[in-house]
Amino acid sequence: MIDDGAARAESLFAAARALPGEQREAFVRREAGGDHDLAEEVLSLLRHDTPTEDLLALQARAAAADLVRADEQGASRSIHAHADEPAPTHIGRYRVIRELGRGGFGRVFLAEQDEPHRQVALKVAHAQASPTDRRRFRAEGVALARLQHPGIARVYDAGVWHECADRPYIVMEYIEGLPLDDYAAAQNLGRRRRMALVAQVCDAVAHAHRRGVIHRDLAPKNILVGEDGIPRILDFGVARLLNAGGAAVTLARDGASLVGTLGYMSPEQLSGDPLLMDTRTDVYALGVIAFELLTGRRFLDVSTLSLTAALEAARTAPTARPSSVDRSLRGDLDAIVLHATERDPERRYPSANALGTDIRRWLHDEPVSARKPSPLYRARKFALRHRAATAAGVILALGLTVAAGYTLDARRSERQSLAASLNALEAIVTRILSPLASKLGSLDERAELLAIIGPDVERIAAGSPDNLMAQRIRARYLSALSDVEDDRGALPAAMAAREESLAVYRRLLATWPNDIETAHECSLAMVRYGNLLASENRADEMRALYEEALALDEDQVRRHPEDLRLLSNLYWSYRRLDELHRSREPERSRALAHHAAAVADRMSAIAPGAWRTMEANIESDRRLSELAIADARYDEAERRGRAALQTAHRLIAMDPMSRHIQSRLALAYSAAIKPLIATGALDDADQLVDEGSVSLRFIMSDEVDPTQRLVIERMLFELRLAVAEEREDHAALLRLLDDAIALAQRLMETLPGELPQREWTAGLLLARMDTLACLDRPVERLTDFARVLEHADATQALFANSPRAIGRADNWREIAVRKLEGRLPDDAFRRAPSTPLTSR
Amino acid sequence: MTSNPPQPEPADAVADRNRAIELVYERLERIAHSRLDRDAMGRVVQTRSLVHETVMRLQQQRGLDYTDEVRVLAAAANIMGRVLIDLARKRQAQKRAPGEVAVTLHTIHLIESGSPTVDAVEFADALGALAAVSPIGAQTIQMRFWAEMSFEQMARALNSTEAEVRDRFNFAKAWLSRRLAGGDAR
Repeated sequence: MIDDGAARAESLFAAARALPGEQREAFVRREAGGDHDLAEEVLSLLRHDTPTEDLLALQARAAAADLVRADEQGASRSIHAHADEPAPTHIGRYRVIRELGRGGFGRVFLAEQDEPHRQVALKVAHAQASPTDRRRFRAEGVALARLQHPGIARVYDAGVWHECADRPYIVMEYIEGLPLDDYAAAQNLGRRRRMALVAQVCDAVAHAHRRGVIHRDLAPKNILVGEDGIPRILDFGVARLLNAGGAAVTLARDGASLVGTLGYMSPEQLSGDPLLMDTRTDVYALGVIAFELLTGRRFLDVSTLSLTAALEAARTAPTARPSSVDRSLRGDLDAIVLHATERDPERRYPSANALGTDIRRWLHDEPVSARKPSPLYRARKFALRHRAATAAGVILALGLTVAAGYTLDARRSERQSLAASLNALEAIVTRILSPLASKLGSLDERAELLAIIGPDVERIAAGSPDNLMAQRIRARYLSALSDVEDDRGALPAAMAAREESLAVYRRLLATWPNDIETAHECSLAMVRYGNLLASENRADEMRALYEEALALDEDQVRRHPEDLRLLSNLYWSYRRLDELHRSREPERSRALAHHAAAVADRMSAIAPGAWRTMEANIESDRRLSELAIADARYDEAERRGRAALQTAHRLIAMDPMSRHIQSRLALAYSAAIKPLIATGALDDADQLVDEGSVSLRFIMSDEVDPTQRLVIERMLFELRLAVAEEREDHAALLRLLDDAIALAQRLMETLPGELPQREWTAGLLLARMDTLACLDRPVERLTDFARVLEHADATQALFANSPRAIGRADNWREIAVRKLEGRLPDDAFRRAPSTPLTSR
Repeated sequence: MTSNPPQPEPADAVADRNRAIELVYERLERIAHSRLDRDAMGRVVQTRSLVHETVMRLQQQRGLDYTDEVRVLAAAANIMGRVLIDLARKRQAQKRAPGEVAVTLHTIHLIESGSPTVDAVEFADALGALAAVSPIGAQTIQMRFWAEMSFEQMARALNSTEAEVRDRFNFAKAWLSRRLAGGDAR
């Protein structure tokens, strides 16, 4: 009720407050007349008119926070009170085996599923969970279901347990394995393998971040490594979801606003303010994990401290340096760990992806970004201030600021600032050129960035004709431009830029023949230009460039016999020419294959664990296995095939997300399987094909480019078909052929410009004709005949300018006609072996 | 009132509402964050879930003109106050219930920092009592504290003048401070 007194007090207060302090009391007493209470009330209020608005607002908000927290604690308390209910026998269609654990949200059971038959981890909400809790529980399920990554425990299913208070549940992958640190210790892993594991965890975390999920409790105990050696993150129970606007919703309901594992929690996490936490909180934990895996020591040993002392230590203790434990960790590894565990999130790696990339740079013996000087740091600050939501945005922001900084610098004509501008430009160009660029930035963003820096690159290069760095940046810039144009389908522009880039490299190499960087990039430029020429059907020029690259690589390896990059270039130059000569000059091809193998051996002697070495060795073993089959030396073929597969598995463990390495693994499976088919060990072959399909499909998460997926599927189909053919199981073969033809159709739609895809389709159709003949189904065979003719017509229409394509299509027609007329034995057509050579 | 079955909304209205909610969310979040002076107070206020709850209730609000930013903010501030009072009641009920009190890392942090604290229930009570004395004053407090509205915006939301709103706010502020300082509650 509002009484008159209150209203009068309010107006009197306002009037008095407008007066100078010393006049107020007299004024109030006068205005109140005889109402003594009113006067005292207003005067009392005037005495309390002191606090700043901020203080009161702050207190109000603190009170609000207390209430909210109390509410959460209440929820957790009521859950504990009911925690002793017996384990159910069934939840939905899952049979419960035993309880695995419990948390604030609910309980986790090990359960069994019939179809498909497997063990699962089933997380069910408490019966007392409020509607809000349930909503959040489901939100977690939905968010986690979006995470599909080999490094994250998968969500299979989610549902509502109707028999028991409609409690929501989530069904997840059940992982048996050792915690990350125990695994590394048990396997006695070396430093590189340990860092490779951390890089893999970074991939998984980056995947979650891209889908708007922050883990917040990354610690070795939450990362299990199974028998396959792949680390998998579990327990996103305290994860936070970021909605589209970046606003976060907390999933944790453990009653604490502070959830996590002390010792892995970032300073901002310890401050208890969820608003300060973003993806970089996970970066911090990853840095701590890297430290512990490298040194075998705790980053922050809190075991002897009381909880409060531990908190204080975590907030204030100086950041530990790996080299303080082991001096041999000085340098890059120190830099990486320190950069990841910076107290100020603004100074950390901006993302888990950036950390993972840097670890891989170290694994690949490349300079790590954590040690790069200021322009990048400045740019990172900028990017972080603007909190671009996507990695692409960060890259763009990075580039643009560096460009802006550079422009300012460039206006000063001192020599020093030329160096600064060059550094800045180099940072941009290198980023756009990096193999990650296509993942991180869209084509348009890359093009925009190039357009911004283009005039400056040209101006600086023109002004410093004798400066190696300025010229090389221009060559790199042109190379990036060529890639972007090529990706856009603008072949003439791509070729022009590539040609110009190569011309610059040639000039530089003439002046600085001993500069490894220039030689390496020049060789690459030759090959890339050659590839472009190939797509224009200028085969002679292409071959000339490949030969020139080989000569360059041979010369460079003589100058720098220990340089892995140059050796790798030489390896692939040999292999490339080997492939070119394969059909017409088999002897030269064979000799080149052996030269290549010798180079791979040298690489193994110099740096056995480097990815370049492994890649060359996989390819080398694969190629030699192929040659051995041709010579009927099956034992050697099998041994080499197995070796290729083994190396490929090691390589993929280092970097499962690399498209390149995925292709290598697929090829290695093919190499291991082919000798088995040739010797008739068909059951073994079948088994290995199955294994290959599973591991490849598993590795190919949704991040993989769909084309890549199709190409790898094709490879698997080829192997299955070869096994079925060898078995002479015509019915099975027919089913496989139908599936393969459907795949071929999709491949032709996805890669309309590729003749090999059309060739494969033709081969499959012709093989289908044979199979139908064996099954004695002549009418359908006639249909296939018509399909071959149609396919040949379509191909000739599509490749009207290519004599080769027209010749091939004529050939298919002829084979089909002969088959129909019975002039060819039915097994006369064999699909040509196809081994995509996808180096570089 | 609340038992009316929900009517389907036209698409425009849904879009307006979503826009308004986004605006409120963003604003409340920013306020909750930006107004903390952690160095001075040594204490962190966590209002995220409060904001969240408020926005959820705001979404269920019917008959609100979502194209009017000021009214949406005022409604949000109002709801926030109600959410708090609900929580305070719930907490008082819990105080009577048996069971251990969960000690969290956060509470320890809070206790250790030794900053001035206001009992949450007391604050909610104070706000309720203020509403009895000066309903408009209580509203201005909420609009100012929860939605950080300007006096000009508050005047529009209340169909009043800026000077009038300022007077009400100052009165409410003094009244609240006195009550929270343990002074006479009258």
